[in-house]
Amino acid sequence: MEVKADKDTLYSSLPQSVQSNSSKIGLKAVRADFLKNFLKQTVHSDKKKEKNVPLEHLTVVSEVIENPPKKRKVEKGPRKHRKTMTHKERKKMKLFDIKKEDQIYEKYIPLHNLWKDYISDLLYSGDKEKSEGILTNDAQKLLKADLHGAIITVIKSRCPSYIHTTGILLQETRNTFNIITKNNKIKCIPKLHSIFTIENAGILYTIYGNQFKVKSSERSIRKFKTKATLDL
Amino acid sequence: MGKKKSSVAHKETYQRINYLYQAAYLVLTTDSSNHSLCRFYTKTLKAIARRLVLRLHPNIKRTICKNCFLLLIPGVTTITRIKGKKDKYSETKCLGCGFKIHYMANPNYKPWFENPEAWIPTGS
Repeated sequence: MEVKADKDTLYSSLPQSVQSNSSKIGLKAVRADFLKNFLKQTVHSDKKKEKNVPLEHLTVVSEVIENPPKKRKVEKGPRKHRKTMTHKERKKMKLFDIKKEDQIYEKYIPLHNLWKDYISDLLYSGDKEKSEGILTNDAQKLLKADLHGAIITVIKSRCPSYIHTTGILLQETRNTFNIITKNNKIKCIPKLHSIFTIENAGILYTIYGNQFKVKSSERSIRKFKTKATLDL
Repeated sequence: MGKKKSSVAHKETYQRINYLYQAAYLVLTTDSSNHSLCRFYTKTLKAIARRLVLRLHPNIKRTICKNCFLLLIPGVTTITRIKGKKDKYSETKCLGCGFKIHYMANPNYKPWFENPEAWIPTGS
């Protein structure tokens, strides 16, 4: 009975007087999916091993526990100079590939909201009473801005199947945009031969993919030249 | 000093770095198993800083894994322990790749960036 009582007190919710003042003390509610994710990471499932464990192994284990093997001295080889992984090893690990479980559109809506705040802060910081006619300054700023998290659409393209695909931009590489669509699919769209638009606060900005073929990290340094001819 | 009113040079890139750091943090906290996108943002962040020769603040630099670019949040993506018998040090182990970082845990030592002399006065 004592154990039961203890359990009841353990899992009961906090008294109401504490709950009402919880924000003042600094208590935070644990997210519902926190425990599930935590267990997924920490507990490794060895289902294959568990299935086929013959009884003989158990006796071997008990013998080992009774007389543990003597520790051998491990001979150390030449000392490694490099601590971090090489580029080849990193490629093998597939550090930047998005898993199938994470390809859900609704997960990235908060990211888009964050981007909205960032871009409005970047464009309209300082002088709020700027007239709408001055857009060249905006374009210069937008060239150096970050586009991860923006909703992007393809207007024109040489490949007709790309046209009118919209989605949140997740990854930007030198030659492609990786977009997640509302159908929970990741699409890799090449910048070459296509024109994109980005919408912010009622203004549409068009991006010509042919001139935009730069690494996203390199874009903040590079100077862009104005070109008159624009063909697909 | 300068003609411009804004005293901070490279203000837009600093804003961009700030945004990327926030985005990486937000992606990790919304779903703690989504490591790959977080890594992508921190890598671009580091690449921008490297190209423009901007020094990241140690508080930001120390929360990015050197090995696999994962954002290090204690309890979520790292295991942090105090170790050592004579000289104590804190060991943070990245759960993405298993890389370990040591920092000395000496209560009398104060790093330079916490010193008020290190800050450049602004506005003057």
